[in-house]
Amino acid sequence: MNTSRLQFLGLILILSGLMACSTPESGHHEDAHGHGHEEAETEFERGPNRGRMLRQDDFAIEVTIFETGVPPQFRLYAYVKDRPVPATEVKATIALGRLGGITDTFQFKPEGLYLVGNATVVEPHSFDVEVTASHGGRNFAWRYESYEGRTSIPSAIAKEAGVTVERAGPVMLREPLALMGQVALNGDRYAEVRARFAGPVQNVHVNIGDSVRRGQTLATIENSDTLVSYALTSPIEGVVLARHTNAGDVAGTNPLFEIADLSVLWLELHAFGEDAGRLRAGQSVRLASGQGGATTTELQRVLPLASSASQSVVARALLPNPEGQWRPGMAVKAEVILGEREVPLAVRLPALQRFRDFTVVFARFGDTYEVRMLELGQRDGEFVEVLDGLTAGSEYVVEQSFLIKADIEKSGASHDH
Amino acid sequence: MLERIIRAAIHHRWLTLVLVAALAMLGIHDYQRLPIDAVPDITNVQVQINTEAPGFSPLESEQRVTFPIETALAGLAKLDHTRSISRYGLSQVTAVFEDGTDLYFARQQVAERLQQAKSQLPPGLDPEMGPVATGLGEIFMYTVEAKPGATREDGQPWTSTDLRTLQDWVVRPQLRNLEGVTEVNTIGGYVRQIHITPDPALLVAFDLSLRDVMDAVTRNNSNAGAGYIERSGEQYLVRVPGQVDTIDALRDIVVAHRAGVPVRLRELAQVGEGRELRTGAATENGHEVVLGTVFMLVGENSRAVARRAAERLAQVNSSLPEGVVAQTVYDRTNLVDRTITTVRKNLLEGALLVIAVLFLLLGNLRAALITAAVIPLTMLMTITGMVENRVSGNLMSLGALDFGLIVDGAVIIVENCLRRFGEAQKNFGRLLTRPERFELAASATAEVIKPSLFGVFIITVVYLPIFALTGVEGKMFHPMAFTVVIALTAAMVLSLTFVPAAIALFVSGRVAEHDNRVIQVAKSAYAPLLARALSWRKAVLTAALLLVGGSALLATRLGSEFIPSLDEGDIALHALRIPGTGLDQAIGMQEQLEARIKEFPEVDKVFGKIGTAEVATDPMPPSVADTFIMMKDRADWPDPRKPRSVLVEELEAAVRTIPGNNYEFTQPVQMRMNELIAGVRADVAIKVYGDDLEVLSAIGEAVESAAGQVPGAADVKLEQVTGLPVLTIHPDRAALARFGLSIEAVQDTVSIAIGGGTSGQLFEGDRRFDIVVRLPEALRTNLDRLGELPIPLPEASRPARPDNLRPGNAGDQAATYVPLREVARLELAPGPNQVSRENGKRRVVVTANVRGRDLGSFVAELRERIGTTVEIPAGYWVDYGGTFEQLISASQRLQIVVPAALLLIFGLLFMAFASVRDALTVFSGVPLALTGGVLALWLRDIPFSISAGVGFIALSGVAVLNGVVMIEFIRSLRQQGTALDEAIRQGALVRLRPVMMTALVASLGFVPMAFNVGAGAEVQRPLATVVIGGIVSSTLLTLLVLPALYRLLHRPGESQ
Repeated sequence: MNTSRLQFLGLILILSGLMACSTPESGHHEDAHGHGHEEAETEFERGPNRGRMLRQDDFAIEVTIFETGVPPQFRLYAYVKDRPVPATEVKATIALGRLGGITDTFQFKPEGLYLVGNATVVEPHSFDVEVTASHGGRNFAWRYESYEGRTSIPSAIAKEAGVTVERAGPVMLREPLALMGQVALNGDRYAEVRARFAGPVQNVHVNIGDSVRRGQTLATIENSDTLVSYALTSPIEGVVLARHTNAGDVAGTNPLFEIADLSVLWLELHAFGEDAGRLRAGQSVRLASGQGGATTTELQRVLPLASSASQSVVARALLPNPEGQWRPGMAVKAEVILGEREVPLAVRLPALQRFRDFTVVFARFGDTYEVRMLELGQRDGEFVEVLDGLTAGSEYVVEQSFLIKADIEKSGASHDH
Repeated sequence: MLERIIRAAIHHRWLTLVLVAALAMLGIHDYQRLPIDAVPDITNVQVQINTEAPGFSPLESEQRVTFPIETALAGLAKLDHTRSISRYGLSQVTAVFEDGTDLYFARQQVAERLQQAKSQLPPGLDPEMGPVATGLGEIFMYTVEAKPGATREDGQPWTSTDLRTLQDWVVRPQLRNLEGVTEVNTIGGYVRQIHITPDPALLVAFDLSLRDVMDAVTRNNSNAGAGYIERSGEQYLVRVPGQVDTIDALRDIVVAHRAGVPVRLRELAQVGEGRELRTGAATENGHEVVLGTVFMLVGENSRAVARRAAERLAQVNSSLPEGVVAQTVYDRTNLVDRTITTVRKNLLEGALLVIAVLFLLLGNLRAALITAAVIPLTMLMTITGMVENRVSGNLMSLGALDFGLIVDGAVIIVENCLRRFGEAQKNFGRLLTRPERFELAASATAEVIKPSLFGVFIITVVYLPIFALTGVEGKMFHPMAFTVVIALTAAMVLSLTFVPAAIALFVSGRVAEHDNRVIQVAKSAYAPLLARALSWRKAVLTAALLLVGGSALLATRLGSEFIPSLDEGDIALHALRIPGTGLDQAIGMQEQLEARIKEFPEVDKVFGKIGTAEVATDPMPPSVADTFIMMKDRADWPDPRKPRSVLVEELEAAVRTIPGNNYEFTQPVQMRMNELIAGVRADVAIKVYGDDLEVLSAIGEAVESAAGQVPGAADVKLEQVTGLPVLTIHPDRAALARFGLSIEAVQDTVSIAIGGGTSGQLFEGDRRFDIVVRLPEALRTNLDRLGELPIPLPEASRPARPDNLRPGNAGDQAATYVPLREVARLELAPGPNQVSRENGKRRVVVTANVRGRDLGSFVAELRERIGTTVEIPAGYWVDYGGTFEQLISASQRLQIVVPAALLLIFGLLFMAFASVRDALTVFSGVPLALTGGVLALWLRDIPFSISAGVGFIALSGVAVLNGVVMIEFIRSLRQQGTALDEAIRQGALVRLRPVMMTALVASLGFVPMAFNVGAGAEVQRPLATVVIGGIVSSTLLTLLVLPALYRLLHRPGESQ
């Protein structure tokens, strides 16, 4: 009697102790509020080769995409009751339904322990998958979704966020090269006027800045030998840039006047390194001065010498100057169009985003956006040529393409099959 | 001893009353000084050291700033650990000290070490300690914004630069020196800067470098003093002013002479107001604003400081120009007031109920009032104790007070005195004389003082395990335990002194010997029940046992949460974007988000902080935004009764449709707390330390996948360390050598061109603005054209500049510069987003929570799996941390402390009764009491939490108290020779009144708390529910099971 009483009391003691003990340990699953990202991963069964297991009855197919050292390809492993089945006994097909109504179909042939698909699985690996298989007279079929780089945004919200799309198509690509340089006197339209015969200068008829016609008398000089005065005339039409003489001076072999025709000047641009080699006569040049003038012309030639100090080469263009707004000595910026060609498919530069190791754009299908991995060609300041990865006529996001990327990546999208 | 104290108190009754009154006055005085806040401060003792390193990438800021600072901090006294993050332009080192370290002592030490470290930092960098504030510090936020359509004097609309200037030079200075304010932090807008943006082509034309421009500005913008001259006994100061005071004057600065002609700044550059490269922005209701945050000094009264700030802000508004307003957007006063109102209402209603019960059951107004007077007196004495011990008043500390419990001791004394007075009056047939009254009061008190002190003492003892909690849990619950213990001690002292003195003095009238109506009814109902229980005692006991077993089973089915979180009323929302998101992009996304949230009719305003503020108290990248959603008064909601959880769900559903954002919902104070105690709030944190970031990241990934395979692992996450796109400009050394350029020349040009170079300041009165030289915005942001940036060639390798323009010498006309792409390779690649370090070593963290499994075995398996599957190269090591350490150490400590406390209670009981059986009998009341608590929780569908646990603790105390009172009386009856059965019967009946009273006051005192819905009620509700449910069961069981058990354990013949 007594012992049972004590046992009873002991039980009570332990119970109360337990209840008190359980207090502080409970409920430590408080939310961690770090600045992290939630990972939302769709769960499915993985097979021995880390692929997706498709089961029906006791038969199973494991779908993997193998891409180590080879272009991505489907490899299928078959099992019966979780035991591998020789690949030769199984027939299978896979149909991938992609956005935009495209379907890729794969036939399989045995290769070692597995069945291998007859074509490359092109990026992005985002599709509705339909697998059919037959083994031992039985037919199986599965369907599942395997999306990556895809998101849906209602059009009203996309519009509010400033998302704009364009259709990818042919574009005229210009390849520009920015150069700096100077306006210089045109060597073909420049003259240093010297006295034909030495002698004292009797009269000077022009002043610096005067315009002169061809044949206009610049000065009168007396020939020291014959003592006959003769007129020194301008060989070209132009402007007097310099006058190194005055009445009473004795003209010798030094130039007395410098005259230049400023209606056509030289534009001399400095080109560096590889750029120099790509310059050709005839390429068009758009130039602007620091003072705000702008015009276009074309390259005349690239000079043969390079500067030893700056390793630069001078490219020269003629610069028509009918209004006289270009003055030799002015510093100018110029853009040389190295080439111009129409490419069949190009996208705008702001549309490009980094996505994993790829440069991508986001294609739109209704309210759904999906990544398109691109192989890019030439680019200019606005467009870039697309060699592969996008079909002509696709709608792609231009403005706020980062937003689409952010929306896709926010859930920690993984490249997983 | 006790009796001597009681007699002394009665003898010096007036002195006692005066002393009590004086203590009460002190309490009233201290109430003004009591720091009041909504929740306890759970921040650890930490000092943040922020160093702004403009233009430094995460790697550089780690290498050149964080590392020297961390090294300097090593080995500080009482340092617990250091952690750091290095981001773009910012290094933040957090030194965490042991709990209990004086914050100022810690800061002093850090300051000394920083002095030493400064010499090792790159010139111009200035490490600064964060504000002297804790997680509760952000008490007040305001925006500076222009009214719609308002314009400046010149007719232009206000720009965010203007607003920021007003904030920096008008609003902030006025708030910063308020008492109790330690810092006013600003985010948003642009700090006004004067930008000189030279055209690179013109620089080339004039043969100048960006550095030349900076030097010219520096040389021409300073004042100089030249001592003084004494002349004819008078002293003249000599000065040479040269400071530029307008932008126009700046434009006229001569940069160089070319062919004798001065080249002025205006000829080669645009000069004007520009936008700084900011690290953070603020938005409100979908547009950009300037946001100020007032930080409260540690230990101040948040309500007082917030109110002061609000008053001053109102005054500040009159000093702002027409059309610009500073508006409060967040004021902690609201939350504190709401919470304190709830607490006050609960306490007041509880006290009133208690008084009503006392009057009803005692039937004597004076006695009821004396008992009730214990309530405010205890409260005031508790406040004094809290102030003296620096415990702040908040929901947890004040919320756990139950006046019913507090007056229990007094109730028993008063009840016994009244009973004895009544008996004596009946015996003498007259009113008592004064000496008789005094004598009787003393003996009656002494008679029950032991059980009542015991009860109080036992309740105190059961609170002891709470003191064993450490860390965050400790900080959360220590103040509560402390307050309750102070209150109980105060009540104990009052029961010893004030209560007997007051009874002796004031209960002079006739005291009814007969029980009043209520008690009579109760007794007549109780007597037959008791008789039945005594005769069917085994059945009763079995039933009780089944009940205990059943509720133990039920207890395991209750949900559990750590502590019910205080509903702050407002919502805080982390909007997370992918790393690398630019600030302007983030602002656009934030604006769309806010516009959507604002559509909710319940939302008053919504504002956000994106990125890092001026003082980097919370260094976030631009991809993260703290969004504050301020709610309207519930009365203004379309459905005022809509639960918060429903609203949060609706909000979540709505914001999910906004593309590009991920969200975490929390609350303003909670968010800040988490940021500070941070780093790692997951159950388990696997930290990998080492040198190479890429190796670390690879190991991290391996650990992540290994951890994910351990059964029970949930939310396994690898800290994101990469993903920041970095444009790296690799100088080509061979090319540089060809041109005779140094690497520095390239770095200098690029950093000035893109990042900007500061050359002096422009002073406008007191205001001063940096003068920054950098490229025009259109060129600066054009990545494709960056390669064209001209790098000036050094003089030596530069050809003589031709002095005439004759054609034909073009070969000599070499360029005086080379484009950047000739001497450097540009590479765009993702780089480290941030570098985290802990205890002076780089680390990455993998965090995991544990579900459905005990932590200990999980960690053991995790260690084993990581040890076998993850290969860790030499020089790298893995460490395990996280809350599991705390939980394990806490539960280990509790495994000792809880049994120890139980043993102590038992020891006390044994001391009182000198009988194991009696002690056990009383003790059995504890599990019986718990059954009711569990049942009540289950009925109300409230999960088990620490709050509920505290309720159970209080309950154990009450149960023991009831038991002691009853057993004590039965024993004294038996000692007087009454037969066992009769003693039990009589004892139980006589003690019905005190047992009912203590039970009723204790439970009724909690009724308002259990049913209140005001702010903070959710924290108190579980506690109150447990106590009420438990007391009902405990009382019933004390009255029925206890006598039965006592009867079972004692044989009629045995001697006492």
